Amino acid sequence: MTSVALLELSDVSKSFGGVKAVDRLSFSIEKGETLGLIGPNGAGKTTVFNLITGLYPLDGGKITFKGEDISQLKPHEIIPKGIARTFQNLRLFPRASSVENVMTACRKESYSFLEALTHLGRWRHCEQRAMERAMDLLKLVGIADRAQQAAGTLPYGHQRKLEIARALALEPELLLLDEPAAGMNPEEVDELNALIRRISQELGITIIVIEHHMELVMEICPRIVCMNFGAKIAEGSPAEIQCHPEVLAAYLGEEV
Amino acid sequence: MGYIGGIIILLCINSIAVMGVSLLTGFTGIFSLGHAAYMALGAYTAGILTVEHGVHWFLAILAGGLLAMVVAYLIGIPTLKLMGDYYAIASIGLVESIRLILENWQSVTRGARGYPGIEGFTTLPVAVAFFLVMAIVMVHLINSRYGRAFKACRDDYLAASLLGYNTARYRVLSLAVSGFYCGVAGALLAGFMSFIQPVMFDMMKSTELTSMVVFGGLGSLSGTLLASVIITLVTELFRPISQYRMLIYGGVLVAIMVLRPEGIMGSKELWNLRRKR
Repeated sequence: MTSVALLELSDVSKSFGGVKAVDRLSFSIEKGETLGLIGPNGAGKTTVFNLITGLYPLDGGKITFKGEDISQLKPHEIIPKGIARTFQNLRLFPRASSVENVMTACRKESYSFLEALTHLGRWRHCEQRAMERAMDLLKLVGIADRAQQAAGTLPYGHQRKLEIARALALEPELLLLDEPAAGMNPEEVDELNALIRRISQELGITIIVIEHHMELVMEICPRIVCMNFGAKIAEGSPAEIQCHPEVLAAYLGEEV
Repeated sequence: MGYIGGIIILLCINSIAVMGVSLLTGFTGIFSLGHAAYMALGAYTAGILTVEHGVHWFLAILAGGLLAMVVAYLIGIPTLKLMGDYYAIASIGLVESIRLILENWQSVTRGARGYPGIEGFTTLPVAVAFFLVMAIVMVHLINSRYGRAFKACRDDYLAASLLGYNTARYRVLSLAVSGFYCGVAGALLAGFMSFIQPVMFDMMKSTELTSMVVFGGLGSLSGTLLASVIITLVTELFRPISQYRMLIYGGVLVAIMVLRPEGIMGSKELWNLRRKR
């Protein structure tokens, strides 16, 4: 039995001016896996997410999702195929309530423009379903009590959770988490740990997580890819990564 | 019909146009300095169709709205694919071009002297009925998945596109609906005044519409309606002191700017004031 990779990057490159942000990067992730993507600041991790979700065009290489080449597609064409992401610098809709933020991503509950204008037909049913679904997701991430509060006024840790809820509302097969633990206190990191496990195990969603919080990465990711200066310098289990000489050099600096 | 009736009709017409601009600027985040162009299209379409072709006024109003919608759609496709204020710049070009066409296409529009003799079909019940129906439809639209999409494009187009929204499509849709509202408002104006002139639809009129939306509160439909009522009444009630009323008009705008920089209502709606906290 050969398992087909859910997402595969082969020789992906991207330069900004003279800077090679991503340099012939290749890795793949199988369905159900949780992969950690680590590396020092400026290693190009977020750029990888931006390339996968189509925010930037590729300079070279190829990205396939479920066997289909998505390298040339735009974000609004890629996302419906089953990829969702969160952002390193939160990108919530600050004036809208938490539940509205999540409902904005409940795209499966669809009705026609005419039904929207008249509030007839499927409108009531779909809006109700979207609302219920949004509330379920807020419960899942543990901020249901803040459903009616404007997203911009939530505590930082709650905003991070809200972003995850919003991403899950897209019903993705692959979830890209960009530094979900940034700015969280130890207690919240523990909750996040449990949440990511639930997303992986109960919802069966494949996850790639960029994170600087090493303890968290080592605990939730059976496999880790480490980048430096846009290139992959190591790949393996947490134990392998922890004692990999190049990883140590990248993080701690090399002895002269 | 009486003076008061006339003012109510004018209020309804202005409010319909302002709702259109409110959708585009307040809820979708696209600034326009040329929405008088769509009013002009609606007004002249309704005028010419009823006077020269004997079309029923109701159909003529709809035709005016539809033509404005089609023009808005066509202008929106190239300009709204780009992010930023390209549409605002294009809208200045649009309103000036439409005015010049109306002034110079003598055989159809009778030029700068204006187009007289339009049947006075915009009676009080007609104006109020159009306003009510269009207001209800607008509230419905904003409280739907389309409304959420428009607001997402306004607040963070990058996040919107990464939720799978084709933001350009929603921006164009918002502009088209907005064009329809202004087109209908223009058509009703033609039926109210019985006489229309290209200068009625210049940049001054466009900025007036946008300023009503900004002063009412970006993202508040009831706020912009309130602003349109206040500004229309101020300009009407002080008509006896002729030119000096513009001083009061300016004073009201400055007062709102100083007292409520986020607009009269901010982004809240009248009917939500109680529910939120």
